[in-house]
Amino acid sequence: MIEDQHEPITIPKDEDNGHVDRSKLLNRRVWALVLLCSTLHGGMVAAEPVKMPDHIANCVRCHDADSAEPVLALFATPHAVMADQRTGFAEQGCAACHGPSLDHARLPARAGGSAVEIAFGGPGAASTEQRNQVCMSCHSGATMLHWPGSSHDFEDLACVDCHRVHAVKDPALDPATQAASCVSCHRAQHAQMHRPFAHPMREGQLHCTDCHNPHGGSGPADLHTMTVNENCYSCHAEKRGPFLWEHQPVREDCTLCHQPHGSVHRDLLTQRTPFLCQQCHMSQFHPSTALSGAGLPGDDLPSGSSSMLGRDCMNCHVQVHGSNHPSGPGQTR
Amino acid sequence: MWVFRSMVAIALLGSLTISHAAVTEGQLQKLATPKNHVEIGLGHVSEASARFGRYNALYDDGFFAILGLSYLQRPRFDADSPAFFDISIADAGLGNRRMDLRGGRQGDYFFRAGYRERSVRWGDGLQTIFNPQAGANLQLPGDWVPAQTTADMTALLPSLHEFNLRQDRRHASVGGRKHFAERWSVSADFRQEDRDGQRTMAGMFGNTGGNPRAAFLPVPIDYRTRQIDVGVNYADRDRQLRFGYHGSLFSNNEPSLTFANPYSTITGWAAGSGFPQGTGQLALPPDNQFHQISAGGGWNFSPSMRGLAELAVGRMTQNEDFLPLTANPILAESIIQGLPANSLNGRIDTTALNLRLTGRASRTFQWNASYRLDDRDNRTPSRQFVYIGGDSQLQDAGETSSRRRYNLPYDYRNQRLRLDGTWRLPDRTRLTAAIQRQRVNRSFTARARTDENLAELRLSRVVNEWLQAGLSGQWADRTGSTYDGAIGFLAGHDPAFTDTLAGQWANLPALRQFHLADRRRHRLGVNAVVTPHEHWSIGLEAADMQDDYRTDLDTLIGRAESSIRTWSTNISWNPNHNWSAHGFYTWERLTGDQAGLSFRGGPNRLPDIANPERAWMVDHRDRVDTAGLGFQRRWLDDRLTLATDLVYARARARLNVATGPALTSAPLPDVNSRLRSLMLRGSYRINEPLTLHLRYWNERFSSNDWALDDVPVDQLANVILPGQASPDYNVHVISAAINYRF
Repeated sequence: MIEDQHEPITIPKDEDNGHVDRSKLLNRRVWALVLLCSTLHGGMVAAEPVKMPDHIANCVRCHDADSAEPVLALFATPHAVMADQRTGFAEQGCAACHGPSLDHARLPARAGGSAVEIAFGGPGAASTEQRNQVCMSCHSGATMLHWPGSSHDFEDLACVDCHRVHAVKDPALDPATQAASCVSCHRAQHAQMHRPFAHPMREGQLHCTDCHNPHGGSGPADLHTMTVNENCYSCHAEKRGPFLWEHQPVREDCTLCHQPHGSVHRDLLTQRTPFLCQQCHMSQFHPSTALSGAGLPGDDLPSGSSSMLGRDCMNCHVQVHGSNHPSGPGQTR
Repeated sequence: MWVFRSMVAIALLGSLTISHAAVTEGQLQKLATPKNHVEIGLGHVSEASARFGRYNALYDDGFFAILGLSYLQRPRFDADSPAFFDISIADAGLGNRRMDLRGGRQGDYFFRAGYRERSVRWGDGLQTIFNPQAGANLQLPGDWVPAQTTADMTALLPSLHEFNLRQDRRHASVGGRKHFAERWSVSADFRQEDRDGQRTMAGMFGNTGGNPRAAFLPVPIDYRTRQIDVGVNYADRDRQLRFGYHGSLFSNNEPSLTFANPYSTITGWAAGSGFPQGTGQLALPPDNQFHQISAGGGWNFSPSMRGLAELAVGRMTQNEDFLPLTANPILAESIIQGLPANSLNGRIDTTALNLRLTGRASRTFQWNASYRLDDRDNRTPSRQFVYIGGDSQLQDAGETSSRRRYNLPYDYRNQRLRLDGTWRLPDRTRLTAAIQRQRVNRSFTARARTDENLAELRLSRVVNEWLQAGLSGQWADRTGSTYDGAIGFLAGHDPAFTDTLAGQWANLPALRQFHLADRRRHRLGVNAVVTPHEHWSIGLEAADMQDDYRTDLDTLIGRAESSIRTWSTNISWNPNHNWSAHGFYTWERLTGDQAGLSFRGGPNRLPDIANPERAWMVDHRDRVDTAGLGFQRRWLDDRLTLATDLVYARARARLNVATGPALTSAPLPDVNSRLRSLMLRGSYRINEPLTLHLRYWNERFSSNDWALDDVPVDQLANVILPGQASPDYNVHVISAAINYRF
């Protein structure tokens, strides 16, 4: 066991740990069951010194709870689980990622000495390549297949530009906070999320990584899937077909007509119908008609053009994604 | 070497250790313990609004419960067992409730299970003459008074029922991963999603030539999608392999929708098509499946070169039984040529391939060479169908009938070859360049082949400590094989019919469909990040993309050009742990010009297309402004936190229509929407485990749309509309919740 290999350091009890004496609180506020629970919980907080291997304790000696560079949250993350030998933490502690850094241990930079050999932030941060190599030495599994040469790799992004290793909860892995990280660079998509018709990203019901793999994806725009349409079908499988009467652009690429991040027009369409339809359908009579305000309601009922009001073209051609009805070649069935 | 140095360091670090305090159990527990909590509270929504609640499940007014739980049991860093368990429950009191459960032994295996509901509202207060609860067989009221147009439907307004557009998704999933033999792992995931609800589509009678009649229907949603993913992965220092299977099975419990015809028989319809015998039928999404197997691998050939290959082979199938040519038994008697098959036997074989070589020629130069193939071989049989138009025609199986149609199984092949290079230049400057060649082959379309060449250049530089700037440009040119707009039309009709048609085309020959047309694209972008002070960061970004479809002189009809211009700025201020603020503003202008020509059929057909006075133009001018402001302030050693977020988004879609002298037109009003959202959040930590959360949220949305507003169900003569209005709301939400940490 690790504890057997390294003599635990002895840390005296902290005389003033700043915590409330919960037993007194119990006597005073017995009226509330919830507070009682909290009291009992608080009373369990121990002020005992933490026993840890020397090579880790030596770092924590300075990087303690009051450190300007807090690291203790790391102990709540998978990286610090010493029973998982893959982490390197058991054997090497902080040096597993930051390098041996002996000079830093003797005299840290703040005291006029040296910084750690591999710093992940600050003015003395190592190069992106160096930092990413540390991460990739463990995280080079199949999910990172596309990382080398991916768009983010080419943009010289470091893993820690998005991920927080010394955090109980990495915001990049938390659906509630992930989007903030993405849109800090992808400003256009951030604006599109606020358009009147958008996928529920702003509401937190859909996340960037539901479709995209920021570590490099198999499909265009780093999609998880090999093609755009496969990605769309994962939620909209009813539009997959194949149908008897296909609509060619639909079969080709959903984004020919739809803007997935948000649109000014209903159904996330790239442009307003019926004019969008008329960019591909220009045959005799109604498809080629010049549609304008002349088709809006007049003073009398009924009035107006069925190519303009309601769902315009879709007042009749309802199956724009394809029809499987034998009498539906015009996408009306 | 690294390991050796580390071990030496570890020994030395041990010798450096001194014996006085560093961290107590209490501190470690406080800082390194997941914030497990239970949240209980109550909220109130001031008014019901489908749009406000379309994705957050707050569509009804009144009170709602706030229930949540987050519990993560991680092993202590020095625990003997790396077992972990994680459960989270969120929005349990709403229609968006979700629960996720994970557990396992770190480095060995994990499992997960999840359940979530997503209740979506697209609209409320829609109207229909059919009973919305009737399911897939919609009948008219007993006292229905039919007519040839809505003007004479005296029972229309008294017969209206209200219905809502909604979809409730219930999604359950289980899965896990197991590591074995040190470098291998196997994973499996199964997901099932049930969807039910109601949408609306028009049920139409008639065919062409001015005789269609339609009524909007409540359409049931009753879908189930099952997805399974199984993977086997291998990874070592230099190689990664993965093999996978993906299956997706979609089923629809309501494969069709039958509806009665509310219109009387009109000229051009066969006897018995109209009320009371008239019956129509829509095909709803058919059951379908997709199966895909994949294999991929990455290999570091050397420290400076890596290869990647990934292949996925799949098959989409669909073989739902065909509905009859008509649901009307009277019209069915006219059928001479029945269906050529009982079902489609639809099948598309997909092949996707990614190949990539990545190298570092030096410390300052990295390159990529990649090839991508996306091939969809549509093996669906093409057969001739003699269709019956809109459940209102007798079958016309004549030799020259336009109703003899062939289904077109579209093939598609997209190949892309791309070279990327990035150079680290002196003075913290970075140059990235790319060239790309893309070829797309299609069948039965106006252009069998399109080719696009693309070049990109990006330059970024860290000018000094407070300024980082970048410049980017893109140029692309798309051309292709000869454009023949009649190909699909000719392939889809019987030659005996097309021989009778002047010119043998349907779409105007001068039309260039925008995804097939020649196109030149230019894009320019600039960006900068200014950090005038360590507490301040200001981002600036502007981009201009222009698409020009007029590269071919014959391209007179269709999309002529389009552009997207944006500029945005964002600013953040983080002076210390207690204060933070941010703001952003984005201006977007999307434009597009399209040209058309109005022409009639019969003897007017050819003269009309030669008449420039029948030409028309539409200019699309969309503008979007989005702005936001937020701040957060902490007091009392983080016990009290106040935060606010303000978002303002305004969108305007403007259409300018101009027509030649032979046509008439009138201006169209703008379509506008405006969103104002204010969120105030406060939290006060009563004591260590208890925190009170208060929230006030006001969202105001106003919009107008000339296609919906003041357009009642009987506005159009030939379509019974759903009477849907564009949304407008002003909703206040207040909530209070107690969060108990444990």
